[in-house]
Amino acid sequence: MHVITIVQTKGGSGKTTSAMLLASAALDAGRRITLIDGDVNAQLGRWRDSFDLAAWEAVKKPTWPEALSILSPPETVEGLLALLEEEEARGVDLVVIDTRPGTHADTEDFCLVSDLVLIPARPVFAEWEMTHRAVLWMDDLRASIAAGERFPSVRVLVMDAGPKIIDAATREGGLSLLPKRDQDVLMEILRLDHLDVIVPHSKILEQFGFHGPLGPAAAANARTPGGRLVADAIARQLEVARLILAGVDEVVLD
Amino acid sequence: MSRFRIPPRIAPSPADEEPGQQNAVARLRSSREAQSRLLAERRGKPAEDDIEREGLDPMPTADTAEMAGNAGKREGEADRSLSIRPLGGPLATGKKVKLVLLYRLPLTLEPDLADIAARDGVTMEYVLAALARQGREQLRKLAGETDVRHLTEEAAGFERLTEGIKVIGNPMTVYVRPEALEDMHRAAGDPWCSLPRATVVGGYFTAIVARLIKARRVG
Repeated sequence: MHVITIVQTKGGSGKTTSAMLLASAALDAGRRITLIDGDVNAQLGRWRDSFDLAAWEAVKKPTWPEALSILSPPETVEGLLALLEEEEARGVDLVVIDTRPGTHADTEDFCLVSDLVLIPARPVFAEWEMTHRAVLWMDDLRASIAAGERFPSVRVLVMDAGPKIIDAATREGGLSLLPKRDQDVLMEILRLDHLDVIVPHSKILEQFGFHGPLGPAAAANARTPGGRLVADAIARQLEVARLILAGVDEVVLD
Repeated sequence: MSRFRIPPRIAPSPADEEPGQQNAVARLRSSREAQSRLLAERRGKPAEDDIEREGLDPMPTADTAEMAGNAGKREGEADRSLSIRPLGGPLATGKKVKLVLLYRLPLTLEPDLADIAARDGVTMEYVLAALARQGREQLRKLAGETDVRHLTEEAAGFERLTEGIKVIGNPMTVYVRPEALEDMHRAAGDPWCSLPRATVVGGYFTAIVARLIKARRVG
């Protein structure tokens, strides 16, 4: 079982969306996954409720996957360690912990029991400095534990990128089409250790609470007359999610 | 004893220090340093700036859009790769091209894998992973047409296989020399390199791994 903690000192950077993407990809790969919602907003904790309450109208809503559990965080470190043991014992393959914005000691505990810390970063000027701070925080945390002790890998995940940013990162000469400040932001973020994928801006990801896990949502829409376009759009996000999981696997299995 | 534990601290928690501002000051200073560096780059060092950017670690190239196809794309995503390619263009700079492959093997090789695993007392997953790592090394060493040619026929066969008759392998990152990549495309009848790189290289990678499996079974 692998444990991933999603950290960002700034709110609204895509922490919960990253957790939902990872959950979708892990489910799609046939894995058992547990999400732990350590965020005060509890958006992840309410994911199943949001999904259950969503009115799907013509499309027959699938049942919530049995392999996906969402839990609240225990109140103590001992409780967290016991919870992880329990999850491992019941055959869970992946635990993803969503955290609250800011710099908190409980977030550090989540990080220290993890195999990977993922820092979502939107490539906009107002946020890159916060991303930088989150990485420095992890450096400080690493320095605060005894030498030789295991410390999780830390990776940045570029989230919610617009077409120009994707062009800049993927196409030869694309960078020069960006305004200078956006070039700087992109280059600064990509100077940090990052996963090999950019998550594009998408309405589907904004409506994660409505759609639920992407695989079942895509399948349900595909089965419905007139649902093909939505199914395709969801399937494209699932493809992104698979790449994120592949990048995560590459780091944690290394 | 559980493998989950909090490592012993030799210094205070950075988060606990936040109210005392010690770390906040250090982080702010570091951010300011980064900002100053940006400003310096912007104001007076265009040449150095360019060199530094070219020297960046090559960016990832999973070629999602190529794998997923572009049909029906919305929200400005059409014809855009979701993953990242080298900013400088790997073919232009001569750097090895980085790709993420979801490599697959035909079911016909499964008995061979099972034989090897049983003989050596390991699991099939272990054999697959170990041979894939060896295959990745060989793929990285392919230098040009001569190296590529003797694998082409086998690779073309694997490319033609449909999803339904393959064993799903694992996603893995591979590197390939740009000249070998061009030769692979050419051998696949794609001199303009318009086919998905992951598919073309995947065929060769599978061919290499298949040979390794056969060699290991005999040995």
